[in-house]
Amino acid sequence: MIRSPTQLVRLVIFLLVSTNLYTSPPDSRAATFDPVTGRLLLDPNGFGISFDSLEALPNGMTYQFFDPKHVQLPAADFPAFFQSDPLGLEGGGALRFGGAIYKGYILGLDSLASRFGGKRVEFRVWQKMLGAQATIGVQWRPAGNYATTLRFRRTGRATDDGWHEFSSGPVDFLLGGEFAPSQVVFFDLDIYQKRSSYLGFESSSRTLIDAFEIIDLGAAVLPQTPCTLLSEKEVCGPEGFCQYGRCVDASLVLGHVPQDEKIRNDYLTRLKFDISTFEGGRLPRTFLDEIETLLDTLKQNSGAAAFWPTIHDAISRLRDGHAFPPQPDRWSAKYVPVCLHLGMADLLPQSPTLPLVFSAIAPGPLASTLQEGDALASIDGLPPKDWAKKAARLVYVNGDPEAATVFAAPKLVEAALRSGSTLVFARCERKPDDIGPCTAAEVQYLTFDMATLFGTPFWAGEAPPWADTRQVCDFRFRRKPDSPDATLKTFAGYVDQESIRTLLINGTPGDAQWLKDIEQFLSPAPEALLLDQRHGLGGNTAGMEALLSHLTSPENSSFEMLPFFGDLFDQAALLLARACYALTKYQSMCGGFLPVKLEGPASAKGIPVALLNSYDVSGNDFVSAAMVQRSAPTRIFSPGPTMGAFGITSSLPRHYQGVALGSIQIGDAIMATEDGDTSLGYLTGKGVAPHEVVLQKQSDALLGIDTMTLRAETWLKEQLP
Amino acid sequence: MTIRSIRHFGLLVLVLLATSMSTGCPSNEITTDASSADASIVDAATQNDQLFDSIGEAPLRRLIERPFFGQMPLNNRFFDPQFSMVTGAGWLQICETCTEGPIRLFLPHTPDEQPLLYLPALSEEKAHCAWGAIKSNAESTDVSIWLGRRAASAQEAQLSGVSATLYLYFQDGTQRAQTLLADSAEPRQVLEDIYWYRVVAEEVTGSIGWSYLYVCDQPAQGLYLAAPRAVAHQESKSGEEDQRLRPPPPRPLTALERNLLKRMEKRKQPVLRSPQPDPS
Repeated sequence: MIRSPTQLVRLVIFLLVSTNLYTSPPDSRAATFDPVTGRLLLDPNGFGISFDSLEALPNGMTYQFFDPKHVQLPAADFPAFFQSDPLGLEGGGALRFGGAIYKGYILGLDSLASRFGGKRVEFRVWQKMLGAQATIGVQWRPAGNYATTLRFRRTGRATDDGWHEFSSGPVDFLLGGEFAPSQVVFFDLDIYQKRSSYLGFESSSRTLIDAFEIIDLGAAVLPQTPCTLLSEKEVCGPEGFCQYGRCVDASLVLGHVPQDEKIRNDYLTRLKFDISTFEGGRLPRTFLDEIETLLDTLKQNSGAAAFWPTIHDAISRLRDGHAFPPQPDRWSAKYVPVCLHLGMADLLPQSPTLPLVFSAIAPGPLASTLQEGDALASIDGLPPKDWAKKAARLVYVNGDPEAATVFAAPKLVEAALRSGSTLVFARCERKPDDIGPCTAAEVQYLTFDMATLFGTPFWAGEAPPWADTRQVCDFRFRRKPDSPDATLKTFAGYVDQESIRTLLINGTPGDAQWLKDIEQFLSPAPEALLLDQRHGLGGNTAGMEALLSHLTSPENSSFEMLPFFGDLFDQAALLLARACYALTKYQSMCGGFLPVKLEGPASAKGIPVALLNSYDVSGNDFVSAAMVQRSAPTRIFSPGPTMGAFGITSSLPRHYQGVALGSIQIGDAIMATEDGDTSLGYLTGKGVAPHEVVLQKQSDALLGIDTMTLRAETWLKEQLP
Repeated sequence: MTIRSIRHFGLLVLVLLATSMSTGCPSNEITTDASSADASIVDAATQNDQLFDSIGEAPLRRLIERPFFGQMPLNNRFFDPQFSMVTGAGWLQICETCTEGPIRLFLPHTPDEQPLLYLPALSEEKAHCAWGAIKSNAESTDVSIWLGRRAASAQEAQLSGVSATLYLYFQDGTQRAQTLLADSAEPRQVLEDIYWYRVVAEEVTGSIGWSYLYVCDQPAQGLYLAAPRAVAHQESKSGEEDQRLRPPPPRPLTALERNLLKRMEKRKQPVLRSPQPDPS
């Protein structure tokens, strides 16, 4: 309100000056900011929290605060957390948060259900960082069980004294039309990140938080109509996903989507730059134009349902097995405690290749009904592989696309749970005297409507507890040795049976005990080795070297890792890089060039080796590639190729403060040859194909037989004198 | 008003100091001239304040737009220009006596409006250093970073004991080092009581693969790092370029610098694994 000619003059001058110095704020919401006083005015008809003092909290709401060790701070301390400031951004004070006050909640947001139920809203808050930065969001906890957090992001509006506006973006207040958000959450981002980095923190660092608002944007937009994954675009529209059979805001499932066009474009531009600059895989780099075109579609499409899935799709198209998209938020994980992997349903008509139940031992309606060998025949009426293509936002696959069907199979049931899809399993009961597969009439079909089994109780506030139990699935039908630890990444164990030693590993972790175990298990060498790395999660160069140095000779199993050196890098430059490393012995002195030359005892290089693969990435990709080069009898048995992730990986920078950083492979690899011949080509993007494609057979599953192990043992016995 | 800029300051002097044998800090110390400390001119915001003061009370603050990446160029070839990964991937701390890592700070006013990395002061004359990864591309590139000290006066805020060095790899198989020099064309800034100086190596040409910027504070008095940039070389439009100090061409690494790189690399292990939870 302009009350005097002086104020009018000041306003005109301000407008002239600010037009010169700054570009315009990104949208019309500047109406809440008084340019004459420089103060923010909360909408008197909206809902706001001024943070002026502890007492300024509306009735029905309370604070909780925690220190960095998650110890709840006493309520008597709370008044001191509020900084009085008559000249503050809004009102007379702000919450002074961060550092030693690591985490905070405002409880009781659900008391606003009667006011905002059925509404589309936007949450906004302002923050002035004085060292710390708070991540602020709203949490939904149906019936007390955590579901999701929608974290606020910068809108681009700020003040010249350092305040930034943060927003949730538009969202329906009631999750699934049922549940109000329960609380506002604050936490100090860098103390959180300290857990996974070498960061220190300053306990006295603080940030000021002020002017929390809930803005009424009108009626809720997501329909309360049953949906499935296949109908979600039509039913839920451009803002929604189908979650447990109901439409919910896409931003509540995958995270906040930048609303401001410039912020969205800047984020996408930097993401494209990160990929095109730091991606080291040579085959992945050939897809950069395609990926850029795909990401550019998001500059014009602000629909929340398109944003993160398109980024997932783009990064998946790299065929970089180390590439994962950034994930700004994550819906609470729920599980179907059943393990399915790709197999051959040889007891069904036409013996289709389908996901088979490998184990079902935990509680729940599926686990209590399904048996080993049951085949997943359809999801929402589609063959599983076709449904998986439509469920790309739920079933992320990367690496060699030839391997995707194998890698995707174990993800399907949980994807179906999340979307509320209908699973149909096919069972063929066989008695000992039965011969051959079932006829069509003999096949029993078992139907599980996940929207009914899980969605209905979840939306009634009674989420079934069986979905909190995670069963570790490791792509093996049976394990030798069958140790309780046999699915751990750091596990290495063996059993000897006749002349064959079966060594089970789950990666190439390279920690001290693992290295010691490998040394002990392979030296002296057994007569024949069955190396079961069906759950090959990779590791580091030390682990890979330790394993291969026993099984192969240096001349046929050394690799060279190279970042993308540019288009002019050639064979001569490779020889120079080798010379550099030979002289310095350090990767960082040679631009990132790293040879991995095996110089071990090669104690087992002459024995026959059968390699069992299924899910094999990175360190286990390298193991597979080296085994192919062995001169002694070697055979790889697998349902499909390995991931094809040959190189060093790194997280991507946390531009969007995600709960999960994206990642990328920052180099590629070649097989080393003496003359620097690169004609063998860069390895990334193409997995190592098996000599023999072997799938677990349904008929074997009913007998408790691991088809792959049986086949590998048979082959090994043929190699022995 | 806490924002002040100094548009001109005197000739910057490069002092090449002998390298200490007791610590890991490399040779080329950045020296700034404090005599220009009071030669500040007020910036535009201060001018506005004065304008308002002449007619009455000024607004407490103004609404502005802050881009998501502040003023950072989006084609910045630093892997992690916002210090979000002090894990060895983007940045890594090198420090003999540290029990805590460097601290990322968010302040209202910073170079490029980006987060800072703070290397705290240490006792016992020890060095506190950090390195950051840059993806080179053979083209002519300008590499720069703002370095700051929190101090009561410019006199106290000198970058004595601070060095910034690029470690580069070239297609001919050689490694060389290039020292960053104080940028005579960019004014010193005082933001949030931190005195900021930009150091730069212009027209870095021909390096390939991964390069590293190594910043070292020895003895560690508390050093702020902000706004690391590695972007395609921009010719100066102001004609000031001729007046700038030209950095010497890249030189071979000293034995000490080689040892530094070894120490850094020993803290890293090449990672060959799926970075996400396993697929099951």
